[in-house]
Amino acid sequence: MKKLFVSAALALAVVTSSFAGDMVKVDKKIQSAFQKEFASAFNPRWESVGDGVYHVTFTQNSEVMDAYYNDDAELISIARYVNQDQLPLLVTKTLNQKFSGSEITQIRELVTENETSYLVTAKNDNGIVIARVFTSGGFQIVKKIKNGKA
Amino acid sequence: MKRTIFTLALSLILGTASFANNDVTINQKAEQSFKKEFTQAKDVSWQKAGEMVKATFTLNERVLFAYYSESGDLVAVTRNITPDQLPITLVSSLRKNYAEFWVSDLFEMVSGGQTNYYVTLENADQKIVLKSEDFGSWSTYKKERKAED
Repeated sequence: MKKLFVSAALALAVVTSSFAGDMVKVDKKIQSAFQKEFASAFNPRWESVGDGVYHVTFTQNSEVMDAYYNDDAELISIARYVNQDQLPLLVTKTLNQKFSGSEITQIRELVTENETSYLVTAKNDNGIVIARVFTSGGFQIVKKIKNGKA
Repeated sequence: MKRTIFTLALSLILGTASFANNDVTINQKAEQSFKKEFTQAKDVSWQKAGEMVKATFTLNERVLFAYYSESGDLVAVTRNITPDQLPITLVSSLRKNYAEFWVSDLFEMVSGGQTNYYVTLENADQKIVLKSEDFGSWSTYKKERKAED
């Protein structure tokens, strides 16, 4: 079940980075868990994204961050935008190997179940590739969009 | 043996062992190994570092350090970083648990396919070195009380 939540959070992180849904009233225990974890969070905005998952976008230490909670108030994922200089060396090495000749347009750091990985969007003449790169340097294609296709 | 070399490299990086000098006859095996591993490296310079040799170079506009054993094996690659270059979980943990300390040293170290982070934190009384092996938490590597004047 927990795996399902993680997959849902990952899918959301891939598909959308901006706040898309309607404001929702979130259960107090979820809000309380959020306030405890992110005490200095500023301007949190909540949405329900289905499958019992709630997404909150907020600012902390001048960074826009996303967090995902399930309806048991468990934090299932955190995401933030990073630049290439913030990537671990092994991740950079993998990107240089896999995306030489492509332009990296977006990188999101994602923490799920205490595992850190990076969702990298790269584009070249053929289209767009979204890949997940693990801290070990492991690489997994998440989505490919060929030019001219939605 | 490999562990010993790694420990030596770490102690050199953390400044607990002394470096020799810049006047080094480059270890041929290390140089060959380096050229193979870091084909795009620029501004390469070599130093003797204890029983090892250390290459300082630029790759993708980052200054990196590579440590090689006498037999030419790559022992570790390191780079100095700032706290905002740490993974989110680690920087959050520092902000939460060590807010009263300042960061006097921070580096990323890759050895044997494993990434570790080492941070040196100080306040008026203490100096603490923390290590992270898992991108998620810190453990105390070394702790010392500062000498009183």
